[in-house]
Amino acid sequence: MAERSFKKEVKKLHAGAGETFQGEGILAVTKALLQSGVAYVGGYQGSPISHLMDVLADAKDEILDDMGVHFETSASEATAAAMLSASVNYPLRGAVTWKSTVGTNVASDALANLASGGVIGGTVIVIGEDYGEGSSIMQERTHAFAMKSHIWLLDPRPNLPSIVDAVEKSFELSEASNTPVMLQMRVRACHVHGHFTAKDNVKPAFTLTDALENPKRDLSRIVLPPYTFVHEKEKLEQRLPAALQFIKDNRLNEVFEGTRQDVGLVVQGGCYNTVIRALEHLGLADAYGDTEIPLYVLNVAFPLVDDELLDFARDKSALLLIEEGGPEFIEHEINTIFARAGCKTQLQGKALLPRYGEYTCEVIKQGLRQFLQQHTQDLLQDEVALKLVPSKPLAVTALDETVPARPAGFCTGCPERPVFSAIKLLQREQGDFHISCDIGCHLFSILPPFNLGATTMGYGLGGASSSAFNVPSSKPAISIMGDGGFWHNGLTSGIGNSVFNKSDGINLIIDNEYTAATGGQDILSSKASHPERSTNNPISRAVEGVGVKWVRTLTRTYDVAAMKRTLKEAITTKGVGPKVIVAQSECMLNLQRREKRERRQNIQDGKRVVESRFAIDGDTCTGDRACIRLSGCPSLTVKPNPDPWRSDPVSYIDNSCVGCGLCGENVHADILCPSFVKVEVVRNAGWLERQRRQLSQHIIGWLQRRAAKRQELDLLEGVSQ
Amino acid sequence: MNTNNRQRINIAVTAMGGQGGGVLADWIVGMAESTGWIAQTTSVPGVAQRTGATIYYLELFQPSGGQADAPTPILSLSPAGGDVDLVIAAELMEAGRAIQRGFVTPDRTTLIASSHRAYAVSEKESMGYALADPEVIHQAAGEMSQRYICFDMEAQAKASGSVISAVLFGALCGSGALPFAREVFEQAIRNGGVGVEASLRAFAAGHDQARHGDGCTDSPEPVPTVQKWTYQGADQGIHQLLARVETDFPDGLVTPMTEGIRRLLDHTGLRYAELYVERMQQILALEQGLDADKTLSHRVAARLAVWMAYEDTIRVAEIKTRARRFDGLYQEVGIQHQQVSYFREYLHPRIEEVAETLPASLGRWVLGNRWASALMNRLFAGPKVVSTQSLRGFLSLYLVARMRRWRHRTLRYTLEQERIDGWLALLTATVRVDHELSCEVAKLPELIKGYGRTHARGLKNFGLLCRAAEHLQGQPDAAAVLVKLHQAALKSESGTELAAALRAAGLENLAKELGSSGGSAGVVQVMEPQPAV
Repeated sequence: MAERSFKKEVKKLHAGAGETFQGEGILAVTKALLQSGVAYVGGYQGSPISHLMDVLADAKDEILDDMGVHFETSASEATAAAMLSASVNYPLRGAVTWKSTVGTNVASDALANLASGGVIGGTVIVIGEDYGEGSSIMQERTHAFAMKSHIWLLDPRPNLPSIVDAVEKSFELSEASNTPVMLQMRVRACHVHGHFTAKDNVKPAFTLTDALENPKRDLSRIVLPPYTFVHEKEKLEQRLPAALQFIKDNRLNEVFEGTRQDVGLVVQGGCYNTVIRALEHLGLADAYGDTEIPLYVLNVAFPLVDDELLDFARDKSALLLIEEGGPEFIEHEINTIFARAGCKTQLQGKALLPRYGEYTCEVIKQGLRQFLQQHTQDLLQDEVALKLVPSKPLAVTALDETVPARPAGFCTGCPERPVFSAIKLLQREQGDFHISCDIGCHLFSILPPFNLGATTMGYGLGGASSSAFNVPSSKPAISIMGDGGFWHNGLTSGIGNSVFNKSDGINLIIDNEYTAATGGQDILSSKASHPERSTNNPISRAVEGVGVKWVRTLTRTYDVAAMKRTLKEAITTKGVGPKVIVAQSECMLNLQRREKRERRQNIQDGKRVVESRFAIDGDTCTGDRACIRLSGCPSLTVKPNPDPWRSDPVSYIDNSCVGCGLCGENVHADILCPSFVKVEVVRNAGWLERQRRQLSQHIIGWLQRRAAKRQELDLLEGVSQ
Repeated sequence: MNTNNRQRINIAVTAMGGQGGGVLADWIVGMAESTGWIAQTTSVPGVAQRTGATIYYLELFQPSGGQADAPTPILSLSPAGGDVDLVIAAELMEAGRAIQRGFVTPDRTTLIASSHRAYAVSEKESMGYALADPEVIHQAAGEMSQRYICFDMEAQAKASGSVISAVLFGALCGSGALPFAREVFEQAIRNGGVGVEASLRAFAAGHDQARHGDGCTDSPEPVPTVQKWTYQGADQGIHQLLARVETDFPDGLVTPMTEGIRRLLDHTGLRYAELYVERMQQILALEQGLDADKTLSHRVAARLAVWMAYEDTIRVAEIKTRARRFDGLYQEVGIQHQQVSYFREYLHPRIEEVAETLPASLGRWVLGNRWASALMNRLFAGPKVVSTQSLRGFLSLYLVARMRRWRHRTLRYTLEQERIDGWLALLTATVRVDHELSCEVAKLPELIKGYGRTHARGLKNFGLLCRAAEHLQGQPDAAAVLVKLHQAALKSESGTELAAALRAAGLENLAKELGSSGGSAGVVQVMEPQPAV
């Protein structure tokens, strides 16, 4: 079950022609798919398109089934890309989605094959381009993949009407040119809230069942010699010209005329709004985007349309190209186009704009200012780096030393945290190990307070990353994978590989029962039962199936001592091949969501319910915070020391504690302090329990009063006890 | 310049996971759209859920004329420095970060921030004091914003049984920064449909306090200070001891001395408090003899009392079984004492703690005898969960607590007094040579904290630094070096920094005692291209 439910929002997908659709970018994309008569949809979750997958999953019962649209959550991006092969021989419109560029990397084998043979039905890949602020991946461009495989790349202006239009046009473009199309959505565009005028949804004219019942094949569409060479020729001689014609005929790129004849801007569609805002700041545009400077907006980032570019450049002395990310593919290509055509217009780009990093308003403004100062006689000539923000006053400089960084970390009560507490304790005894990490929530172990792990090479590649260290050593390498990565490819690339190569390493698989980092989607080993999916397929059986002899499954990761013991056992066990430890406890966010509801109901029904949380005795805590360095739980925090003679803050557990028990386990495993206490509150206690409690309270109270009287405790009260 | 476009209001909301930043953004959008404005919001979600901070960015645009065919404004998807009208920060340091990023400018920005803190890992995990100073934020905010509205909205949210987003929304309304009436705000909450009543309560609280004025309007937290303690009981011994303090000590020292006495009476009893006063008299006499200021005596008065009131098993058992502590827990968790509840105490005494509770000679024998150690270890040491609300659990701790009468016979008592006397002897030797250095030596016991392993590490560092102080005696910059060593000891548990600092101070032999860092992985900070060989 995904973290966020779109059950309410997906009702909007029924909107018919003329209705105003209000909502998030990803919801608009789904609506556009339905308006386009899509027959099948797939994909793999990951920011920023995780929610697109969640919307589709929630839309399945609501509308997709009725519309005859097949949806499935693909096992990986490669699966999703290969799914598009349904459009190779049949007039089926298909769409898949993933996070790029990491997902595109995974999918690239299937993508290259798909692009080589070409498609009959429109195929669209909705790319969540995770570039710039808040990104969690390497900064690369999907553009490179589009170019190398000859897949067309759309980068629409970030407003809902443009995005919806781009989805619809992508299918048509794909069909007109027999080529798959990528539609690039930047992070903020995925989550932008806006509105557009809806059209009716369209059922696919040709269905998957139609295809299965009338199968077709065409040897010339398969990537095998001699057709591979035919494909290459087709790409350049037939599909590219067809695509260019379609782009021109349908005016996919937009020209916004301005009064100036001498200069112009060439802008990636996705950057358009920021460019307009930068022009507004410079006093050259109004709130509606009206500006005297002509703009050519590349809603299609690849391929470029020579005639349109040359037309736009005609009579202008200089153009500024605003192309985010490197290398500057578009700049190279336009320069080639100009050179071949003998166009004398000077193209400026990365010479005036930074070669790397997100093109924020501030960045674009600076580039524009420089460009206009250099290439016009009249614009912004008097301005010397005018800034709206005054130069940093002292008070702001002081912030640099004060404001702490806030790295992402494990949630309150996360079952993964204790696994890393155990490794930290193990390392304290045995020295550090080489640890290969993976992608997923568990990667937060590389950050304080755990500081574990040396590399992360890609999703599901934690096991594979240790493969070089398959040599005799007293300290084997430890590889960490999440359940998400394990099913994505780790079973084969990591575990299978280790078995085959007789590795002696340790594979730790963090099984929180979901792909938690992308929003808690279900996978093969999820515990939840799901009418549409097969879940409850244990990881331990899968690894045994590929030949692992030594498997331990710990079903309560909070048991730090057991985890440490198991790790130790794995380290000392030799000659059995790879050792696999499955650390299995349900993601706390998901668990809480489910339990809270149940608990509330049970309390209402008068059933006995125990609620627990931890607390720390302020009077015995001496403020050494060893507990925090072993946990990092958000609810385990600090507060100023109430004792005027002690300056160090004391540990404190706030109300968000979910009583996971790790604090207590750490006390026991690391011999911490005696300050931790778990408070269990019993709701709807039975008669007997209440009587017993009353009796013991009676005696305890009497003893307490007796001791207090003897020691005159009430007279000794002070600021600190 | 057209950036002061008053048709448009740009809003940045910074919030962390669970603070309802998304809900707040939705309320604002709902409110704007219901009154005919065009609203756009966007964010980079994902990390906020996992303790990071997220910026939600909104632009509200008032269409002119209200014609249906009015052109569509181009709205931006991310905030630009100098072009933000309103910054709403759900935590104080996030307000600071917004200022750092240039979102807050004096000509137009209203900054609404909650003054409460969600401490970052770096602040929490530090071995010393690393909490960020809120005053720095208040000052920068006052200087950089047009209006600064700040108060503890988390506390108000709690008091109203709601979440902080509702209080922020109320503060936003109260600030008058948006041109919408209060009813429109409240309607947006009602339209949201979840926890409406609590949200409206929190909204009202936020609204009202936002009208109290600019700047941080929290009532100042009382800073804990040492109060003069007076005894109201009948014990003549205590009265005499306090009277002795009044006559023998200078005015400034009387208050801390009475507090020290209070702590030791609470810890062990009158005889022990007398010992404290005797020790203090010696220190005071030394300092008086030197005609120095009374810094050393002041520091020792506090450190000695804290140290002498050390946390042994008896003390821990006593604190855990007191009524006052029970009441504190009920209050913290928010339950009544008659409600059925259980306190499960997580304890892990080591054989050392067990043996130290025995009479000194017996304890030493146990520790020295393998067989006896093993037996005691099996019987008493190891991980335990004790329920102090059950008779059995309570009684076991209660009986340990009653051993305070025999505390002076325990091994732990003997050990602690030896260490304290050693420290006092060092102070005595040092103060004659270097008063400044002795004042730093007086602070060294701060290193001894915690229990078990943590306590052992603190004790070891304390011992090393005491010996370092002996070595440093006579050096002109001895005090400054010791301060550096003290800071280094608080850098990490592994002691790498302390070892380096000891080496830098020319105390190689002491550095060696810390041992190598045990094969811990080296951290490569920056990758630099290596020249080909």
